[in-house]
Amino acid sequence: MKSQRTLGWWLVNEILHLLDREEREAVRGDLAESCDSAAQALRSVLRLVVYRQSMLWAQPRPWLVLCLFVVPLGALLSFTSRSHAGLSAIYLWLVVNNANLALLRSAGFWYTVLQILPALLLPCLILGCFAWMAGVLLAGIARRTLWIHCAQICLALLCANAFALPQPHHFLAFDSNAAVHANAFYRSIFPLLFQCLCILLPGFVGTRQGTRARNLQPWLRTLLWASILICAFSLVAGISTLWWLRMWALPPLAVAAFAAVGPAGYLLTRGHVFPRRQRA
Amino acid sequence: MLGEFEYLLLTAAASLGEEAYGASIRRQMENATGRRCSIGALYITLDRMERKGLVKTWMGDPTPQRGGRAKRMVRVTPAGLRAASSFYRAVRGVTRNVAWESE
Repeated sequence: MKSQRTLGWWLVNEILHLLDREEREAVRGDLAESCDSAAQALRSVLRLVVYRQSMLWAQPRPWLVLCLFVVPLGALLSFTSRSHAGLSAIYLWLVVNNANLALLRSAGFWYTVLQILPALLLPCLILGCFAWMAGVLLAGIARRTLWIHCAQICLALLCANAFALPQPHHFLAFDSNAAVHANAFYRSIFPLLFQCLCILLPGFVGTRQGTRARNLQPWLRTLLWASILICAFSLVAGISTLWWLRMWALPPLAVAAFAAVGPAGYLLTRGHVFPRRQRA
Repeated sequence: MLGEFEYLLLTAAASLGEEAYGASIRRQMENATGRRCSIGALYITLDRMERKGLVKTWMGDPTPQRGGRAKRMVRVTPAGLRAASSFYRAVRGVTRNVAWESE
């Protein structure tokens, strides 16, 4: 392709990733021979991609992935991230909005900060590892419809934010944390930032690594599935209203340990921690 | 019965022979009609025609002219030749007593 530096051509290149490798190369070659503008190329490629995706969605596999993986995952991630974002917002408000010079000099303040730090960081670690594993596994089970499924998860997160935003007047009436929720930043922007950092970013990295890793070793795949299922079960049990299900919820530290097992196994075996030696 | 676009594609592919691939067919069709032909439309039609058994496509070898990218080569099958010939006969038959050219 002629000038790959423009935004239009960059977009064409990215959209071409939705095609099979062989067809992508053929289309890239054809575009290189043509004198199409970026806008014309974008229209052409979009038409082809929409057609290919519609052909794929005429088969049962993408629908199975959608129903059994994407929808439950999207719902769980939306609900859990909203809940953790709300809790983290309260802690952050306590620390950031009430800090002054006298408080910063007080030992009690720092003791409290150390006490709430795990409560702030553990959910981030759990959700980050969970989203990363989901990305890697999704890339393995739905390589050709991957980016559509990613868009569906993003939509689930966006919908959760759009429809579950707490309204200020509710909180002013009977909420003990009304001061936090009355603040527009903690109410609307912080949950979005939390989801971007703890879910979208690790999830995107996971999908990229999942698409690049052609074959995962069976034991590593099993480890990732086991890790994500245990975490999912524990998160569901944690937010459930059924007492017999809540009994099975693991403490946050244990969930974090299970969540970290999958990524740690991946990093070790793919040579990110101990690079493999080059053979002479 | 073929569609107009399918007939143009088959004719372009047949006239190009061994050199028939995505970009060359597209060029040939644009030169003949004076209209733009999108890569999307071309590949979608090729797929449909391959399913009908009118053409056969395969990935060719990478060439340096295209930055080392492979071509999607196209060959018209005997069924494709028959369909194009039947379309041409129909068009010729229906236009026998009609003169479109201005005097």
